Amino acid sequence: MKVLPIAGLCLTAGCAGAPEAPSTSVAEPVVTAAPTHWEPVPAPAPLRTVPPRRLEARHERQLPNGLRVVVIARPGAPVVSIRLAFPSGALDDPSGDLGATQIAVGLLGEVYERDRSGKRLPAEDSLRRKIFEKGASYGWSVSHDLSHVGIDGYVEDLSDYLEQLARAVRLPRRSEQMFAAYRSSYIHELEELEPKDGPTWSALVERAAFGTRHPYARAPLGRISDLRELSLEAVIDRQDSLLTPREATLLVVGAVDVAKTHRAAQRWLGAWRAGAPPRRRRAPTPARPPRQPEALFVSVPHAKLAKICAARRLGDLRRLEDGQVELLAEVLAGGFGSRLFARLRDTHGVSYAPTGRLLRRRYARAMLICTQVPADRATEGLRYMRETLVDLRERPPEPLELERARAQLSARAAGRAASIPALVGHALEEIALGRPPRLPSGELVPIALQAQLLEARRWRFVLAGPIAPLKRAARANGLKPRRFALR
Amino acid sequence: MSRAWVLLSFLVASASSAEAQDAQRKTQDADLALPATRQVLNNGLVVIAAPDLRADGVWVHMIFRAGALYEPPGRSGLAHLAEHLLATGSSSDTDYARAAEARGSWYFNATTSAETMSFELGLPAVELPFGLWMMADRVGRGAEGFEPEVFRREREVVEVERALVHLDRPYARPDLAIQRRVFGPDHPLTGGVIGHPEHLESAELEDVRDFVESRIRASNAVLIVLGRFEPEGLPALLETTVARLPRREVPPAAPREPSAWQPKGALALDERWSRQPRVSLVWKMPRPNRVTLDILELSAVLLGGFVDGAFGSRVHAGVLRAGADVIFRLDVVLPYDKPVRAAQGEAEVFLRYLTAVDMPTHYYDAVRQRIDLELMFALDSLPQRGRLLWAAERQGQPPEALPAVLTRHWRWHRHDVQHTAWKTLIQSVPRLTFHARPTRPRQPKLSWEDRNP
Repeated sequence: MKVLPIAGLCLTAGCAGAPEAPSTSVAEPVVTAAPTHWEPVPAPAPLRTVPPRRLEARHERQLPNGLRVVVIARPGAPVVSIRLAFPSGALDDPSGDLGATQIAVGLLGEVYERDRSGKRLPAEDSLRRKIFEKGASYGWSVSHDLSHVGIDGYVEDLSDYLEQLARAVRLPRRSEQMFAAYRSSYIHELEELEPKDGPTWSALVERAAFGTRHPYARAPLGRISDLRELSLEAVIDRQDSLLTPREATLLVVGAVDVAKTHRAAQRWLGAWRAGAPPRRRRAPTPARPPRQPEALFVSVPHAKLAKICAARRLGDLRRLEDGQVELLAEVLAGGFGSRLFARLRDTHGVSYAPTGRLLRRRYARAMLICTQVPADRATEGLRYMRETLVDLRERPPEPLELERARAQLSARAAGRAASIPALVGHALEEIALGRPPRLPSGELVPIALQAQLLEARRWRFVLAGPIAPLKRAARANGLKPRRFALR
Repeated sequence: MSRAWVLLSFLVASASSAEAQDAQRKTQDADLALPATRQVLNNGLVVIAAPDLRADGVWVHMIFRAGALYEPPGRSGLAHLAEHLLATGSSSDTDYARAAEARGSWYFNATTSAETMSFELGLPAVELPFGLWMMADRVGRGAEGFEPEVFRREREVVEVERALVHLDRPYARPDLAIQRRVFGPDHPLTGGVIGHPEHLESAELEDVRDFVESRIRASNAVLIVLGRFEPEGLPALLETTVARLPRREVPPAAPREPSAWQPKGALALDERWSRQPRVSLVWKMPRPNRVTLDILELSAVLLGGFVDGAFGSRVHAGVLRAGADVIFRLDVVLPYDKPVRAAQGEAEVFLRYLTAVDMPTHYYDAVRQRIDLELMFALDSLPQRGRLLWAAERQGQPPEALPAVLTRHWRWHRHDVQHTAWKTLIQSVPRLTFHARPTRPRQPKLSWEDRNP
């Protein structure tokens, strides 16, 4: 969601300029006397006991129209995050109308232009502006597997927010003028997409991960040719098929009263008609990984750094659990203690921080490792990455490496409840995947599967940077180069 | 008619009905309060503790007044380089990062700003002793174990970081040029916190050692401890860790005078990454008073809220405090097909709206409510909470004054904003204008008619 950079501003600039002298107003020292020199001591053991944590309970109900209402009451400041989420996204764009979902959801936050009889209405504020003027923020998002609209705001206005959201989905805004503006804007964005941009880079990585023609490899924004022909009627059809309470989830997280929230949900969204069951498309299983190692590369002429990602789709390794892949990704490239960090940064100083993770979609998975290295050392960087993969295949993780990786995965799992945005993000991920993300079991990938997973020829590499050193790097590392074109 | 005027005229038109409303603050001080204590140990270390049994883990944050502004002349980037060596462990024997990961740390980071160097660590609640030990061990060992090999490696890593932060992103080079122009070539911030490449290249391990020896001391630091722990148990943990650090006075840093500033005309800068023209208006003022600063902070947020992405424009405004200098900056970015002079025109309109046109009360209130909202979301997370407590401390305020510190934006009437912004940004402080002109060739684009057949 778009947020004003207020808190960040406050923090970086210190919320305006007072003198920097430390306060002298408070308590007495607790320690008797300060020592005169430092004596190092070993790191202490963990505490044996800590105070128990009061966990937030999750209260779930289903309204008669099929809408699932999930309330997570988190005592604290009087704020609330609301999301109305649909387990359907750009993957369900009708063929020939790629981009329809994005515009269909975007229009919900705009204006009513005509009444039900088709008569033009006087100009009014957009839903975004109405929410803004309540001191809150409205946002929306469409990914391949998920669409949602939502509001971050004050608990005291919860009922108002739900009323506004209910109106937005029950009587969708379908402004002709805004439709034209959105379509134009997305065509413009697709024309502008450059390898330096996040969306382009994601599309490129997903292309490497799932295959060039796979639906997950195209931008959720759509395609220029489809958008040019897209009509408002097609967008309205998409709104009609998407905006049904069946399979939808209303998520409310914050300092709310659970019973009141359920009552408000029933009041504003209970009368939302269920309509026809949503149409869903199932993405095909990605093709088997390539038999020859490939490099997709894109030119970013002025870059000092080369971005490198390696992707391994997992369609042929169904027996592997998510947690097992995550554990291996952690050993390989997750954090300071990973093998890739040791190789790239500690030994050679060519990278700031490599990363490794499991890329999860509802119908496909891939393992990813990424880093950035100086462009004039791309050959070296690419070689280190490939050698680290080979090394892990030949030298499985040692107990200490596994202990660190498991500790990191547990920390990440605990972090899912660390704040309201984390709770919301976790719940939305669950809706997008269509299942609760499995918590890491901490089990190691069986040796045979690990050998298959890390087989060098199954990995596809993506390189972005100045073209000449990238080509040299690909050639020197025996990768078959393929150019990339997004549109 | 410019896009900015379309938007602003809408705001003005809808102002009259809302004019009579009072300020609609939806929060109370209690919503922004944090139960926290502050104490000063005998070695001079300030400890702020805020237990919270609802939290999942603990957060340990140590801040030193040892940012870039304390670097000696010609040594820009030294503080940041020192931070790298101190953060992950100065030698192969003290690998704090890996040790923290093995203990399940969920956050490990170090940052350097103009004024401070800080180390942040998020841990499971049982590992609080380790977190305090790590902070103490880092300060206690200081520069004694710095190894030449690690120093050389981290200097290379910093070069990569410099490319990430200062080169390989849109408007990176114009921003560096602005920085250099605003602070002058000899200022520590002339190349950003990461430093000028020539200074980095010539930095010696001894320089880093000297810097660490002089600034990284308990009496020059604040330790913030947050999260799930029993407050009664904390003194004993402090006693065996940070309270064991020796008391050593910090040599006074030479007072830095406001840097030279010669604002004149508009400077054209080449932009290689983005195709969108950008105009930056920059004001530099030496030591403005606190009220003026408060209001400029609020003005920056108001300016940023005028546009929400509609019409393809983007507006960003902010205030940067760098020792004796305070910088106010307004950036306006327009779609690729607009000339840079259009961006200049829109920036002037936004500025005029802040300083000369009667701002609608409901817009003014909505922005202030949004500030409160974001602050409350920030207080919901341990890391942000720690940073807000530091924001109060650096202003000389105790933790119990946090609500007063965070809600200063409610003290000012919109006419105060208009008056102060006019006086400062239009009347008294000269400004410099920078035009970032895209240099990349434009590919043929579809016209509006083609996009909307």
